[in-house]
Amino acid sequence: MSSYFVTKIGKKSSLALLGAVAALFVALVPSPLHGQSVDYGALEQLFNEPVTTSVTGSPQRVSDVPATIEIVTAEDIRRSGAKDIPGVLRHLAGVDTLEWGNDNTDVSIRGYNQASLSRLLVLVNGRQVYADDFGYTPWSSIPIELSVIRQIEVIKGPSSALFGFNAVGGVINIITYDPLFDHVNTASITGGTQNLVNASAAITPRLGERVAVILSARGSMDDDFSTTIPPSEVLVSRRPQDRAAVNLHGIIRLKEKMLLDFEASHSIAQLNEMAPDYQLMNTRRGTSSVKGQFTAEGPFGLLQASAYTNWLKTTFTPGIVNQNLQLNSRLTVVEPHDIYKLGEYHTLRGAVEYRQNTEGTTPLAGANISYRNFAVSGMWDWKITPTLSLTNAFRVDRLSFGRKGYLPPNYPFSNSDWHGIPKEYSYNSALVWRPSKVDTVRLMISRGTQLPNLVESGALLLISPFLNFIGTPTLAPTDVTNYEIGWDHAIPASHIMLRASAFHQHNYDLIAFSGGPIETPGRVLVEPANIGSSDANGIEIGLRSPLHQKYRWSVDYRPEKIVDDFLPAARNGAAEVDYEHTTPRHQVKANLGWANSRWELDSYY
Amino acid sequence: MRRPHFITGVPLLIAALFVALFGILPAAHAADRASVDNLQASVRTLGFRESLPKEGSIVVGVIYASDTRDGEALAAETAALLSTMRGPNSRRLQPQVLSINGLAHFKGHLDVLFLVQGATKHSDVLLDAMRRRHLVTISDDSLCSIAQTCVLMVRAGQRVEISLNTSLADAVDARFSLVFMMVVNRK
Repeated sequence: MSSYFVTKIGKKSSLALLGAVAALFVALVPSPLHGQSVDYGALEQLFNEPVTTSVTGSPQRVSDVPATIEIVTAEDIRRSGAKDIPGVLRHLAGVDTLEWGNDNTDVSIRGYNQASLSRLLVLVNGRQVYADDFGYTPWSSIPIELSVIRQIEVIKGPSSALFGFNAVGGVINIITYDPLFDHVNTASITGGTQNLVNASAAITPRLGERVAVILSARGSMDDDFSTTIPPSEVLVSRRPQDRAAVNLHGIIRLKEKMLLDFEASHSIAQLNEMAPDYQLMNTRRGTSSVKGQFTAEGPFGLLQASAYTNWLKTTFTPGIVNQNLQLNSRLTVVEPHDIYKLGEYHTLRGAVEYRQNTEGTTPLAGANISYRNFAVSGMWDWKITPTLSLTNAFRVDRLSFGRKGYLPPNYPFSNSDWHGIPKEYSYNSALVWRPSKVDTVRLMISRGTQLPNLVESGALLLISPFLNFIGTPTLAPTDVTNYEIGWDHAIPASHIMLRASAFHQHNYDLIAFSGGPIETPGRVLVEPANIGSSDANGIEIGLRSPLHQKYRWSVDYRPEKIVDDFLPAARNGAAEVDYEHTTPRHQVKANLGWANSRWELDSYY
Repeated sequence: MRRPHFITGVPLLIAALFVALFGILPAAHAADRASVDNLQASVRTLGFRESLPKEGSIVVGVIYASDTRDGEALAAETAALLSTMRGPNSRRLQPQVLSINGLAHFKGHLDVLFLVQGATKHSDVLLDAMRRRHLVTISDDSLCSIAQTCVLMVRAGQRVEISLNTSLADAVDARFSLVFMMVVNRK
């Protein structure tokens, strides 16, 4: 098992975190309390349906949310038989997966999938695990065990008004068990083909009346598939893979109606991954994170302030370069928000967010690329009548890129070219109508923004005799607008649920990793570029059996058509992007399962 | 720039789907399930009440109106069901069947009241007992919302519906978690 990523920063952070935790233990004042962390399990039992905070920030029943959302419950995860999160998601309606190898999968919502997909924002308890360097989600580095996941919330369509940049295709928020309410004590060892060995454990020690933690860890190793690598990707060989991760999540009840959450994680992984240019590469990745979150309830509503830092270190060997490249980034996010219930009919949410990320250039070092973002957002949920509600969310981002340090000779940009971009705005607006107890109709419109990632913005600075790749400060963010109508219908008596939706999505200023060349004296530089727009139209229809039945089943169908409108130089896959021909026109998924008190049997199509 | 194309026939497909499901499937007026579901949901709401004592069994007064036909039998049946259920943190429920008049003179300990059908019409006696003893009332009788006698109205039919009477909750000094108050209907 590799353990190369024990950085100075990581050690310092761990010690600081332990110190802070110890100090809080000592400082605790005994007091009974009922802080406002959401007891998802109790609410799900009460309403016989999951509850989520991922759509408006305020807790809502799934049948009430102003968005198209799928919730994967802990039972779904257990019965999926999957060994990782993409394995769970692949069974979900409207989700597309590209499995490049044993531990390398890209997950998208409603098509538009590609290597190192950038348009899906993935979070763990609200903390971004999306990697800003290549702008993708390294699923194998998420430090969460399947056994500690309470539910996975999959929101389809843009949700930037709540979550910010990159939530354009959708958002996946992974919610872990709450140590205050849930007790998870598991250990498992798994073996399989490809020399798979996986060990995982989770414990929930309760430290008195006011402190509870979940500690989980895993270690796994396997070999990749031995199928033939296409000649275009064969520049490096597959190596054995290993992964290890540890995660600590604790909650301290400070006082009545006052909670302090803390989370710390560390993961290491050695993998074979598909690069954005569709070259197989060997990757070693280390991640660390620390997060603190304060929650208080009072006359001001439900106040929550969170801050976290993610460290990401990626060492990768693209076959075409055949040398180790190293990306080091540090993301810091601070976000306070308040949810206020104004009378009987109005729920308001206000938030500000500060976000900063800095990435050193590689392989030519001596410079760094950074961005800073300050955002203000608001949400207003208006219950117009008992059966009709209107939700509006709006967010304005003020973003500035920056570059400091070394400039190679004949570099076509100066550091001052990285500067602020115009204010970006995003919104979600939805009308939810419940014409009867068994019907819900939703009309939704939303707009989100996808940022150029840090590699595209200049962190990858490769100048060699045979290949030159640079980023560019001139990329425009991709804007995605989504129009959608949805209908949920619970068939009386049988409690079978029908879900249908039709959507139209417009993507403007799409970015391709290697979309454009720049000619400079003596060489041609490859750089990312905005290549045009794309439109998607589709419908989703699904039927599923009610929760908690002996037999359960589901069947989902999604026809979708994507039409790309790219610049001539990028057409027909010339820029390694071709959504029109790579997104399935028809997607069918089905599930049939049976369970009694001791046994469960499930099959998926 | 080419104009986007819509999938041929998508609007027709959607229209056909709506027609099929509204036309062929049964109408959307399901009968409510047995009251055991209402009771189970009612008991689960207790987990979100902050002012409930943390330990010991939970004493539930099952209230009926003597002048309602079968009121006492319904209360006894409700009490029997409640005694098989568990409250928050697996705490035992201890039902106590009381008539409205009996409630006025009852001296024992009560944590919460469950109003069976018909009990809500004697609002004066109920409200007096609730205010005096700081008692939360729960009922699955929709009339209780009109009579303003139940803090929580809970019905678990096709969809669980919970209404919280906030002014009545304030009057009996009952507090619920904010998360709960955000999820239920507030009157």
